[in-house]
Amino acid sequence: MNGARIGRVGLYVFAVSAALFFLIPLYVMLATSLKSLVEIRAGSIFSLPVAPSLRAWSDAWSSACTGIACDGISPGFWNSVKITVPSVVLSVAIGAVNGFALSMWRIRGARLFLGLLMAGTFIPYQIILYPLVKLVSAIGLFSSLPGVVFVQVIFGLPILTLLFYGYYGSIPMDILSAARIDGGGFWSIFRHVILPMSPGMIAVAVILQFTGVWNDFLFGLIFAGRDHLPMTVQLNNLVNKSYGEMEYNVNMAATVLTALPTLLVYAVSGNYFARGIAAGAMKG
Amino acid sequence: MRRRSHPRWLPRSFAAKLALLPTSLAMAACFYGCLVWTLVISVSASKLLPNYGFIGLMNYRRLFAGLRWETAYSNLFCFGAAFILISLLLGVALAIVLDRNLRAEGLFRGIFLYPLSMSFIVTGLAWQWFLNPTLGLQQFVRGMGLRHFTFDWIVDQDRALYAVAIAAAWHAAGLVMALTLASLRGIDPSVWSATRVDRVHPIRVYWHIVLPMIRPAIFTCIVLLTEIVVKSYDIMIAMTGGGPGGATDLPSLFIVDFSFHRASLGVAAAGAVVLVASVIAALAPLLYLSRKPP
Amino acid sequence: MSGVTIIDARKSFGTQTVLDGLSLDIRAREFVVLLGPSGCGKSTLLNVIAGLETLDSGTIRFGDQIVTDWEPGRRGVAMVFQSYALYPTMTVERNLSFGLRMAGTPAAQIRARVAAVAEVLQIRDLLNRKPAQLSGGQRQRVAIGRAIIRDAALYLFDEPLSNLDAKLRVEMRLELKQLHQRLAATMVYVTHDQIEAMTLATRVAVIRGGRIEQYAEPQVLYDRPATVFVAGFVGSPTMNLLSAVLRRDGIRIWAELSGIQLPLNQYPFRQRPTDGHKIIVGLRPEDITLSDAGLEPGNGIDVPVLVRERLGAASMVWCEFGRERLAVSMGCEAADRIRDRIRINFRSERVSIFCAGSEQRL
Repeated sequence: MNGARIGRVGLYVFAVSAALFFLIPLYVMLATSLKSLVEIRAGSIFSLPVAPSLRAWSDAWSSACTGIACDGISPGFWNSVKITVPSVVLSVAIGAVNGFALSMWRIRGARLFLGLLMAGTFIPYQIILYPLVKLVSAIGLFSSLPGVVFVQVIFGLPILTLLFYGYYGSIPMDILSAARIDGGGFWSIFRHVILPMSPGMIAVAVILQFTGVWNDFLFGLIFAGRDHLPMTVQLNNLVNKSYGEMEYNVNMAATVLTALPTLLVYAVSGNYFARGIAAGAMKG
Repeated sequence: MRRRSHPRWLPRSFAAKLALLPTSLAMAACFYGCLVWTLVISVSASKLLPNYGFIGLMNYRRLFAGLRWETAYSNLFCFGAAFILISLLLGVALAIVLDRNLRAEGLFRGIFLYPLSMSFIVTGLAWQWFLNPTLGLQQFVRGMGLRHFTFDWIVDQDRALYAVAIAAAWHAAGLVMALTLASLRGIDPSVWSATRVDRVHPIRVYWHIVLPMIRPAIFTCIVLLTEIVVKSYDIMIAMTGGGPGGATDLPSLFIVDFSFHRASLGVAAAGAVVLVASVIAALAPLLYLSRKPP
Repeated sequence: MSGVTIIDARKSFGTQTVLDGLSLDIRAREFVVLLGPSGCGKSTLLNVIAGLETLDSGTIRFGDQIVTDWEPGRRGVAMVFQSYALYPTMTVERNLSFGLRMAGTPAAQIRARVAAVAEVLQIRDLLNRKPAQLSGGQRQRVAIGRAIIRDAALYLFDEPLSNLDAKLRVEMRLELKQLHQRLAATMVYVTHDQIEAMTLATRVAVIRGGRIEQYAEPQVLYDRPATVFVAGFVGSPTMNLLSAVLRRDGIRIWAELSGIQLPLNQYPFRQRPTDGHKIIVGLRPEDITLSDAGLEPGNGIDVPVLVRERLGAASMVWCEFGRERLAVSMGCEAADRIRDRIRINFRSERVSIFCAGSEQRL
């Protein structure tokens, strides 16, 4: 069947072309970061580095200028870690408890609560940014690490709550009944029975939230304060600075460094990342 | 299961209600309280700081009179349309291709999805560099011999928006692909058997039969993509900074700028209200359509 | 050990009434079975006794203590679920000890009790396994073990044998009966299987539509059912239920059905029988006998045979009786000898009479 053959080949051609399309920016980032400035200006963007060197990487890490300071983006890296870890831990924990409460206990207006939660995720946060600033200032957390963590947790809760709500909905009520008969209350049942049953969902939640928080820009810019700016903000400052010489290799090295953590998580997470996307999309 | 249909059967617990309290308060304050606050401020005389004097629709008049909002708002639609269209076409095409049981499907999927794991800042900066007129793609193609090849969209006032749309679609097509593929995989295989028996050409099968069946997934994608469009900020800032000359300005940039840098809280709030209203107006009919049973 | 008293229990889910003013008195150390078809409210009643669900109105007492508003943990009940409901991430040992750990029992005591229960139920080799690694019967035992480890005031069973295959079910039935004798505990057991009810219970409550149809010892249910529903539900093979008219002529009382007259003078009527009352006559297949060949005609009725069923130990012969069908039980040899008609006699001392309208026993 010649027609089918051609069709099959055509499919592969398309798939490979698409793959190239998706890989090219990554290749360009890596290649540029390994070249010298001279080579960049002289050569073409797609050429392989003649003498690959990690100098741009070390510059990006420890000596590039991001605004006022010239310590590279390593401070940004550690800030991002300090922001992301607590945010992920807190939001996943609270999301799980919320999901448990809503799906297995009688809460009047649970459906409304979930609906409002879902609707909340549709609000573009730029719209409520200013009042949010006022709110966070009012509780004394503006321009601080706890402040940005607070905001990240709040904005992660709707999707994580929905995630766990859906998951706990599949746990048979009999198990909850048995635990209640055994004398368990809300918290002891959560800790001893429900939590051990959740590792898969926790993995999905952690990956989803880690990716979202690490990649965030605006909340970090506004709420973290000058001493705790995350890596994405420092990156933007580094690359889009309005003065001085453009060191394209350093720029790209910094960009790759910023993308690495979440890329690595993606690479090792296997199916969990896709499940996270699907779950994140389920709110629609 | 009786549980889901009879919520009254669920056991009572004060601890459960208490556990939900922090989230409820936070949601009420941060989402809805702030929304109402923005609405109030939009009809107030706020400039640098909030001022609760009522001035009616003055801010809105200032908003629509200014050129910047007009540009930003129309950019939203141009960018949105281009981005959604490209993402949908690319994503659905990829999903259909992957649904045909290729070898190394896992590898392809991995490649199509990885941009989603990166920040929009990274995407914006990478594409900014890639589309650099003097050192990027344009230069490369010219170096290959096509001396008059131009792809300087990123610095072209009329085309910059579409350059960003391409970059954004590169980032988000994987999302469309993932959702569409899941929907395709959910189609009963007997549909395919029936078409083979009837000797229908695969392309016609896709157009007439499959596409209508995955309509809910497509709707979901459109809703999610619209959400991304409205929230777009990072990619603009990173790739073009809103330029050249406001060519890639967006309402989200406008609002942030006017709130924090231009000391025009009232006008910014008015812009925010208009943006929310537009989103609701755009999504409501879409959501209504998607609820209709097939 | 205490008894359970339920007074006027009412519960609805939205517009659906599940318990309709139900009252029940369970004595200490009894084995009471709640028997009924699906949706009759028996499981809900059990959940209400356990404290898993609350009543809209009514009272529940354990002995003298009113427990209507008590949480399940506080009531000190133990329960075995139809699905076993074992904690999937815990080993058998931890499944068994969970309740004790929640109560803060000292570790040494927990160990001792786990060992004792494991010994009794022969699950000692399974202590380190997780539920997913157990067979259905083994999970059953662990579920029972989890219940008996806690020295509860009351043991509740929600159709625990439904998920087992027939052979295992018979074995477990015996074990449960022995368990009851050994523990001398009050047990409440829910099932839709009337064989389980008849073999296990000291008393059976037949429940229908949220109400108790009859509450008595199994044999009473069998011999003197209180309603048409109980008559048809309890006992296998089911009782024949035939339409008839009550006739009374001075002191002579009889039932007229399909041309024959059934004398009812010895029948213990609860209320004065009235002439012309439409009734239903209930008679079990084994209470219909073959007339001895050679007796004078007029003794017994001649009916055409429809079908013969061989059931191993006995045979069931279905006959046409008027416009209804009659099942007659007899030995296999007797069944083989009959042709297309048989002559049958009703043992009128074994009959049950019900009012056709109210379906209550007369």
